[in-house]
Amino acid sequence: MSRKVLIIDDDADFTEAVGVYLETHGYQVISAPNGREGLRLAKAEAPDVVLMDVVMDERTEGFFTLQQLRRTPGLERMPVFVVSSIYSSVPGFSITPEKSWLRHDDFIAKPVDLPRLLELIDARLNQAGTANASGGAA
Amino acid sequence: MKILKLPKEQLDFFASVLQQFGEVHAPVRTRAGYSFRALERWSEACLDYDRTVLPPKKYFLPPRETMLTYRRPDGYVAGSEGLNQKLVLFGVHACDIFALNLLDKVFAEGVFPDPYYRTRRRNVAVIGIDCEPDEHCFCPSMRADFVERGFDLFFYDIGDHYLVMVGTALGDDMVLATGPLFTPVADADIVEYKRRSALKKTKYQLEVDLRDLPEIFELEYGSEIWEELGRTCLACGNCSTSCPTCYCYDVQDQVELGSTEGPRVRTADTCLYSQHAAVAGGENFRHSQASRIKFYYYHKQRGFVMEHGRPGCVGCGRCIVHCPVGIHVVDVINRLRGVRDAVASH
Amino acid sequence: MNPETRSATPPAPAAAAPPAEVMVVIDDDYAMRLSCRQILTKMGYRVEVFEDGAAGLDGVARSKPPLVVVDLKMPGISGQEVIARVHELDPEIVIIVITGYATIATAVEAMKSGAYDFLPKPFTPDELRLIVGRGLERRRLQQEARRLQLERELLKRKFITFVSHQLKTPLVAIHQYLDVLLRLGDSPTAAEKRDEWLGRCIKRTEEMQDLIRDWLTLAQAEGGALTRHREPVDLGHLLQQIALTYEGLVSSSELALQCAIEPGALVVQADRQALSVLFDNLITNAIKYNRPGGSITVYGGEDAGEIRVSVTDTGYGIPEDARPYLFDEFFRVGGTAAPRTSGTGLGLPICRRIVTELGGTIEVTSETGSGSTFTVRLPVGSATPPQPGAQG
Repeated sequence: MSRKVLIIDDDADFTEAVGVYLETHGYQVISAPNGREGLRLAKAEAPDVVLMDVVMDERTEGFFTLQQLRRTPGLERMPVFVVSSIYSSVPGFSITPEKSWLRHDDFIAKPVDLPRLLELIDARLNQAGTANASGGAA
Repeated sequence: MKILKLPKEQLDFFASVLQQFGEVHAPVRTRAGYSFRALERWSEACLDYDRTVLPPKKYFLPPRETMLTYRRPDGYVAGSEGLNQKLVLFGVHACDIFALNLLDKVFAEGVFPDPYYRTRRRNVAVIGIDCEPDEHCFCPSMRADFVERGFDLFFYDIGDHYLVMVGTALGDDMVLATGPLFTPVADADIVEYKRRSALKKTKYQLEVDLRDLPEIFELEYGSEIWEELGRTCLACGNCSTSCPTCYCYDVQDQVELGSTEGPRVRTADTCLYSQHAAVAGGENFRHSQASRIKFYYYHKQRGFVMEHGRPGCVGCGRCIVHCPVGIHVVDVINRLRGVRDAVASH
Repeated sequence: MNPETRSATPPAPAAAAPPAEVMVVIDDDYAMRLSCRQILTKMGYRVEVFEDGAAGLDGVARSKPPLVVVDLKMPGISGQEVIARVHELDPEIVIIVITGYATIATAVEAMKSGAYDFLPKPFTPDELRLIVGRGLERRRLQQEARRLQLERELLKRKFITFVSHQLKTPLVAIHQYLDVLLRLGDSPTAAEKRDEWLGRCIKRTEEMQDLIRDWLTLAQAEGGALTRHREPVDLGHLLQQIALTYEGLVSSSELALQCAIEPGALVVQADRQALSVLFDNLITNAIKYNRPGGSITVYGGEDAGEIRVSVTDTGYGIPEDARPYLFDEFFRVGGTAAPRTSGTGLGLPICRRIVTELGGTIEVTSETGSGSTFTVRLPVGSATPPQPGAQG
């Protein structure tokens, strides 16, 4: 059964390009153009991993959508990669995954290095897979 | 105390930095009024609100919690739901912070501090914000319009920026995590802060003399006002439920026939409710509505003074706004004092 | 803050100093105080005189004058010290030093302490008038320079947003499309998607070109370059010309465009090209944010010494909480019934900047659900309007 990726991003072209690439590597891709829709799809479609943009309708929309995701029962541990073109360049803004209570798996800069994206997703999902196999909490 | 400033237009960045420290909650406009909620997006946050329906005490004294689960014959397992959740409350008014400091006296100090309350206090960060008084506020009278502790950060509006006071090491961490967005305060900012502070003082419309209030209550113990209020009061408990310093609770073990385990549940209670003062055996020490509303006032403005040195009231105005029959605390106090027409008709 | 309209009103262009301004003269010589007062009052100022430094400093603190005339040699607090203390109160006050003991040394010392200029006694009324005029002009320029610097700061910050987000977003999309196409090589998916994606890449480069063009327009408008060449322009005529150029677009968008221009010449002293950019933007917006079957009305007329032009659309309107930010760079109204449109987000900031440079105001009124009206007010221009048919 193919693994499902949810892309939450307001740029339809970005979503299309990355989505098709992931599809050709065997992933099923669903997408949403904003945080609200993204949350709805995350609950309804139970993706295996989420790629979340930060700046959408609002400058910090991605972070607050992630906050909502984490407080949704069942989605607390969903793998989320934060994808953004600007946050690497905002001075002094540090969102390293270890420090963040918000628990995202990694921060990926745009434009996305596609092979690396595949590696990261693969590694994270395999991690989740072994955790599930040994009876870890989902 | 470290004091810095943050441009208002960068507040959304700051709020997302805060998410490193916990789930960000802020006042959000709902159909019923304002309410502290987890944010779905930053634009939902409404920082220039008059008051939330329920005060921030709901995060520390939840209306209902499982204290423990008893299990025969092993003993019990302590409750932990939501206890270790890290939250950041953004936009708490000074009166509400003052109220939390008062609740600390009840639950966090002394010989037997409440571990549930204390854990939550440790895990919930408080970021205060300045406010505009409306016609129901009387916090200066209750000396609760300014707090110098009890917050991690406190924001004061000075036009295009916020003047930010750092209250704790955690607040300092938040500032450091945000980096160069925080800048030092300039002379012009100080001038502006003082100007606004002085202007704010002129905006309050309600006033209460606090000086010998407990004694007045003592003297007026037999006043006929209580019977009068007892006839009007519905004992709905809105005042107490929405009061930031009311803390009465009820504890019950929920038992089922034949079961060997069950929860011990603590629920919020209020002395306005008819069964609050009822004891096993059937005696009810405050059966009449008049006696209950009298007790409510007496505990807040006199009993609390005996226990903790000052009245429990912080002048937030919630009881005034939520009373369905228009019982007005300032009106009651001023009538006891013999001051006529102290309040415009409510 | 929820104003019904948002007005971007520039400060009134400084011509002559407003007559009600207070000047302070500090001199222990009675005759000198009297004559300074006479001279300055004739120039149109109110004058407060003081006979010693201490009283003078009090006066300055109270009246906050833009300019102070002070004698160097006085009993009590010396003129030098007055200079220092006045500048502590307000570093922008222009200080003119007068003294009977005029030597190069005293002049230099006074200037070093912060005086603007030095006038040895005896001086003629003209000499005083000249120095006061120059001093006030210098002060006005200083304040103007500071304002511009603040604006430049703001623009620099916006520029960072512009580059790091606005430009980067389409660039990222193009990169991803091209990268994926490369990696997909000869696969059937690539063949299927190639034309569409290359088309999208071109569209995104056009978006970047629009952004760069608008950004340059905004920068030009900020620098005053767009409004440098002023001439009398008949707005009525110009508006009708502009409206003509939109005929095709309007009818293909199923809209109606009407001009309601008052008869008579509506002359403004302005740069023709800047006016075109201004009204092009407003009309383009009115078309973009309209509803099918709707209309655009351009009104022009004279109103209490001003030329008023308004562009009204029958679109979805602008929600109240968006109005304070409407003229901000890259601001987009979100969460409305209107479909999200393309555009650079710089149209209204450009309009505001042009209007400001021309000494006018622009404001918006709107009703959600029925439409919006943008109203531009410009000062009436003098001179004879051009003959119709000449320069258009």
